[in-house]
Amino acid sequence: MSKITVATELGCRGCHHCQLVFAVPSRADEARCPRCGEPSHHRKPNSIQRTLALLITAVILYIPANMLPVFRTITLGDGQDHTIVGGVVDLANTGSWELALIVFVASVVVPVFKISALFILVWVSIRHRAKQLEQHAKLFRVVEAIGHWSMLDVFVIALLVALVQFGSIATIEPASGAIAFGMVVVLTMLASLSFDPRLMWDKSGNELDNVDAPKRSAI
Amino acid sequence: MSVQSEVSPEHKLANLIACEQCDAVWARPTLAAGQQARCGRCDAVLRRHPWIGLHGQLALVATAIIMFVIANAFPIVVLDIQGIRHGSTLLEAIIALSQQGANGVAIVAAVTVFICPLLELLIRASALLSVTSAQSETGTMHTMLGPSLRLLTRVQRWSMTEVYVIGILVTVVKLGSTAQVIPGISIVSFGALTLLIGAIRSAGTDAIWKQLDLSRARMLAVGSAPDSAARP
Repeated sequence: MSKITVATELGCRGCHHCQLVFAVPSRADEARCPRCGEPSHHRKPNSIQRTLALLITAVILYIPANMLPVFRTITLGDGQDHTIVGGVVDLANTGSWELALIVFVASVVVPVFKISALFILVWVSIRHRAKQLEQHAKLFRVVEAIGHWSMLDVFVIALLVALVQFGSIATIEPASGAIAFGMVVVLTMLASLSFDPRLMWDKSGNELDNVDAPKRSAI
Repeated sequence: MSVQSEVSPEHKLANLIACEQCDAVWARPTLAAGQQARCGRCDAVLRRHPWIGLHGQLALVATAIIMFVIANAFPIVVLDIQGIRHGSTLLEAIIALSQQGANGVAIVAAVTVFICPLLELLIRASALLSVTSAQSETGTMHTMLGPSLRLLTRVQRWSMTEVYVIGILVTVVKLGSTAQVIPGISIVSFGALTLLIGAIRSAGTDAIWKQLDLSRARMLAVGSAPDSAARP
């Protein structure tokens, strides 16, 4: 067993922006990086509350985002509503199933995965004894990496509405589900931004079994 | 390949690196080309060796700015329905969106596909220009470098050119059955812009900060410390 040194124990803090490690006066929560001026906190302020509030709002908005139409096609006076899931089905029927799969993953799988993953991470952070932290750390990095891909459908709606303006022949109008869906994406991105993964490790204590072997990696 | 040794009391703070994700502290590793250092506790990437020098980065940023201009100057696609042709550039599309009453979607598109990518490129260009000119002794220090690079981190998160490019492809396929879709130079430029932004981001900002530290140390030695170096 080997001891991991944590920045707090050394009375220092790593700047999240320029990576400089600098000394912080004891008991100071807010301190600015001497090199780049970035404000830093011991831990992100009210991280759990903020993350949960944003997540719950996202879950509530997820319902109208999927129930309401996101755009309306009007062809020769004949109007038809389209939802997010309906768009995936249309694409699979008329276009290519590869693209349908991409849109399905971006619009359905990613938001659901992201919201549930963040709930799990919050749960791990408030639990008394946290386990399997390496897997949870990886989960957080996956959430960070894929989060913005859900914006795909918002862009598709934006392009359809902007491009298909042919008067009475064919017109596409935006519908209220689009903004709800866009809000879900923005809210989940803000939720993962306000979550502080260091909170999970704070619960773990510093003893780890496998740190005697230094890690080697190459790209 | 990189190895992190554990921290011993004789380490100076400047030679340490703290993991952003779990707060573990390591001795700052020296990396060679192609190497990256990972945290021994949570496996997050601590730092990467910048694969391209400052002047190379500047060349990439300049190319990306040209691509950004071309991508926005021409229509994304031109649609042809029964002989009527209609095409719009990204900015025209955003204006059309807000005229249709979709202000929320218009704002999201404007911020993530236009404002943030543009700011990202301009901030990097100005930072790279100011540190590469500070390399020659006559160059003046860019005092706004700290705040502008901090803005860069925030802007990068909301800059989504890569998602937008896939969005164009999906739109083209969706419209393929109802209209004749004529793709133009804008799509190609957006694709190139996406690759360039990816390459630029992978170089990080480490080299810029290192250069800035060097020039600050040089200026202190001469006895003409700039205000920013004396910040408490």
